[in-house]
Amino acid sequence: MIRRATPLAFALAALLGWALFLGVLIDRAELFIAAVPLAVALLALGGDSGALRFELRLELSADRLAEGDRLLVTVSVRAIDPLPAIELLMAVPPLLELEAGKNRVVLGIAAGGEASWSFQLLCPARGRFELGEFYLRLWDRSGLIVRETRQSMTQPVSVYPYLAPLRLVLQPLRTQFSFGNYVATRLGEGIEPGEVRPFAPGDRIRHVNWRASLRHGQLFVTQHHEERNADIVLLLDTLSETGAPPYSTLDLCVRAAATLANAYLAKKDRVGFVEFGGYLRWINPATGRRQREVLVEALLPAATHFSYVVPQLDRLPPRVLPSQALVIAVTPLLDERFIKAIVDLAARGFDLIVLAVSPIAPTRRILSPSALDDLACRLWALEWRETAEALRRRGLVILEWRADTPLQAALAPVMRARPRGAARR
Amino acid sequence: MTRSWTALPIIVIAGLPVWTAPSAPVLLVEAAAGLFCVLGILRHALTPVVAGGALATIGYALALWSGAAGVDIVGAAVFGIALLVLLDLSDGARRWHGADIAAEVVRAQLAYWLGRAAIIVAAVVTLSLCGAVLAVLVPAGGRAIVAGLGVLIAFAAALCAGIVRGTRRGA
Repeated sequence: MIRRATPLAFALAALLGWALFLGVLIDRAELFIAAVPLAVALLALGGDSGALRFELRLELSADRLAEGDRLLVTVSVRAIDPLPAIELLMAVPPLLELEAGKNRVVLGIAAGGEASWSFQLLCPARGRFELGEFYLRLWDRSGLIVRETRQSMTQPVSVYPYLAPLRLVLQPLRTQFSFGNYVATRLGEGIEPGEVRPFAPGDRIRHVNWRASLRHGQLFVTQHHEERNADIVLLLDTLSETGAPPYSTLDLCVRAAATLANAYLAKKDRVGFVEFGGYLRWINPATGRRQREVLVEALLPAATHFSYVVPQLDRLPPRVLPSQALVIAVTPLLDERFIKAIVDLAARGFDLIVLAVSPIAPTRRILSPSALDDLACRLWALEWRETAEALRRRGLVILEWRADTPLQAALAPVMRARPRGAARR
Repeated sequence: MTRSWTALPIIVIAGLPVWTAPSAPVLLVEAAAGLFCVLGILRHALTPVVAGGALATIGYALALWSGAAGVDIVGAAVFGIALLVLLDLSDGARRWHGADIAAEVVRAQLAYWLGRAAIIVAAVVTLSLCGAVLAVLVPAGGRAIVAGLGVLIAFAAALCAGIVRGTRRGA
């Protein structure tokens, strides 16, 4: 704990000396009398109560939140020695916003007493944060001496990406072998009727198509398509980012990826994840609640990392990027390396859908309103759409998503193009 | 700890010298002092307030020097207390600016300031009485010796306080 005299002590001493000097100079008693209050106030510098003891306690209303949630922080101070005025400041990470109350407070606590105060933080952006870095100042009553110290009792808080409601998801073209919600090409046990063929020994009676049998005078059975799940790989572009959190293109991409992962896992699909950025990071496709946790934890630290190395998707193990998988690339279409990678992926025969997050609105948000910026953004929007069109001409499926529209609306055009049962192909 | 309360001591330290000797130079110096003080209060800075206080003291000295009135103990004590209150209030407003201050802290601080003001008044009265008694008892030639003794005692007390504090910190 650092103990020091405050600027007030120096100010009092300076004015005291000045009054005495002027008193001597003009030889008048009034200035000496005027100096008495300053001298009496300075006497408090001699009083030293020694080290002051106290205990701090921090309570957080939650340690796992979603974007947009609120966090209630409660700090309690128990004084062992009397604390005339203790000033506490709890550092708030830059991405968290103070919504109600203040993170800086001045309390006076008697010996053995306890005081607490609360404030509310808004968590608009994803990330892992450490809360509990305290800066303390203990003032004496005179304000001439202050003790400063710092206490760290950090507690981790994770803010997960916001999961938008998604009723319908994009249908994969190919299915896997586990039970799921998609109608597979393969015939077998299922509820979706397929072809009708003549009865063969071993066929079940309940599969007999009586209408066709009566019409043709012999037994026919209805075959059924199996219901299978699919492999989904979310390919996240972290090579470039524009805008500022929590509305940067990367934040929007992460939000979209988390929403899609959640929706596909709810349909019993196996979902994997590849971060295509300064370095390659991946999660093998799997299903279930555990995978949901693994994926949101993997999405949480997604960030742009500068690297001279160009990541190569063909270096990924086959189990990470199965050939039958539906690959959903989430990208702002800003980096040529990513565009080249997805073109290569499509050329290799992957079922690929590109969810292109428009970078115009996130960039416009951080620019001051001006006619020149407006014009530049309009030109950029045209150029960006031309990039998307060029990819469409090469046979890629591009879905444009702007931050001000629901993700479901962005997926709708492909849902119409891929009618229910598209997986039969 | 509202800044509006600092207007009162500013009016006192700027107005008292003008009231003592209303002249253009004093008015000019006190106006400058008031401006500095207001600037410091508005900008949450102590240095302009100290500069304003120093200017106000110069103005007061100028008023006393130019005036030929007798010793005004009450006026001097009020000027000194107003200067102290101004420094306290402006420093309080500066150091706790933007913080949530508990009501008990404000109450205790006001009680401390009132207690200190009472001590100051008692000290001024005691010193004035001592000065008056010494002026009667000590002949004119011996007053310089008494004043020198007072300075020596004050110096020794300051030295002693420093040594005691140093020892306590070392322990």
